[in-house]
Amino acid sequence: MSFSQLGVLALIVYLAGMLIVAEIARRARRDESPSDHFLAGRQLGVFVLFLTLYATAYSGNSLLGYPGRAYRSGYSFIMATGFMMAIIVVFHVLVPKLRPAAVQRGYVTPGDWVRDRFGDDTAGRWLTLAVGLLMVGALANFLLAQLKAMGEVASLVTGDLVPYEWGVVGLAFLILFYETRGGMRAVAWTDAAQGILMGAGLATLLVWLLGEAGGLGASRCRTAPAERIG
Amino acid sequence: MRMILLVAIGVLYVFSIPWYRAEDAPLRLVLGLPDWVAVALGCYAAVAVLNSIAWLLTDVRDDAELPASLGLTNAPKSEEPGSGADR
Repeated sequence: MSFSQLGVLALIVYLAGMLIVAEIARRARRDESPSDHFLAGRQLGVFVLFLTLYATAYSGNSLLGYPGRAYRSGYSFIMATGFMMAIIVVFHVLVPKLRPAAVQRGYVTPGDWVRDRFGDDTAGRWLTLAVGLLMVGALANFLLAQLKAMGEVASLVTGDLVPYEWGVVGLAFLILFYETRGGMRAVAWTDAAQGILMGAGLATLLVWLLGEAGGLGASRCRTAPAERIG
Repeated sequence: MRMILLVAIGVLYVFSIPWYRAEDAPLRLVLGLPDWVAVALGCYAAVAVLNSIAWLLTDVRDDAELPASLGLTNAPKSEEPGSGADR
């Protein structure tokens, strides 16, 4: 079996695994409420929440985009590590205030708080719409990076048996399908599975790379000319 | 204690940026990394640990009184019919 065929097989097994996890998540739903669909009934445990945050923050952009950017920019891109971690730090400002409000007043989306805070009249509705559009605009850039990464990986691991364009469109539809069907619980559970895979894969890759290169210092010398180190 | 940890995290972020290093300072390697990169990585590792402890110390109660800064003065939304709240 060639590497390309092995890649296709791995991709099929991986996607089948994700669909199974998502289907199990769908069957675990408690009711048909928006809260259960969009927030998994607010019942996600610490382990799943941790992994879903990890898999969301460290995804296609950090696995494919960041190494390339780091190679081009040099060590100064180490600051990206801190920026990514700052997401969880900033939650300290938002969560203690917003979580009780969200539970007590039944918010499902951030726009619900805006409408609750500023009223349900015309101005309040426009403000809610503006907040929604701002969030879409902010997340679109992040989402596009994921779509691009999916296409690149699908093309790479299958030796272009699955072309880049098919990887982007096909995988986007597949994810859209199981996330629409299973809601936030499917998102979180598939993220958890992907987070475990990603953590194990990255740890293995790090050990393998350092072993092959002969240590951290040697790997630095092999990948970057001396004038770019400082 | 939680506030001290959050302030410490802020200080670590400040020191993770090599503003204290002269532009023409000689290159020193620590574990194969430039010294300022090693410092930044150490700061981020410490941030991760302190942040975890801070979250363990954070008590978020769902029935806590809502702070005035949220500006919510009307009746709880979940009591309104058809509000899109939990059903």
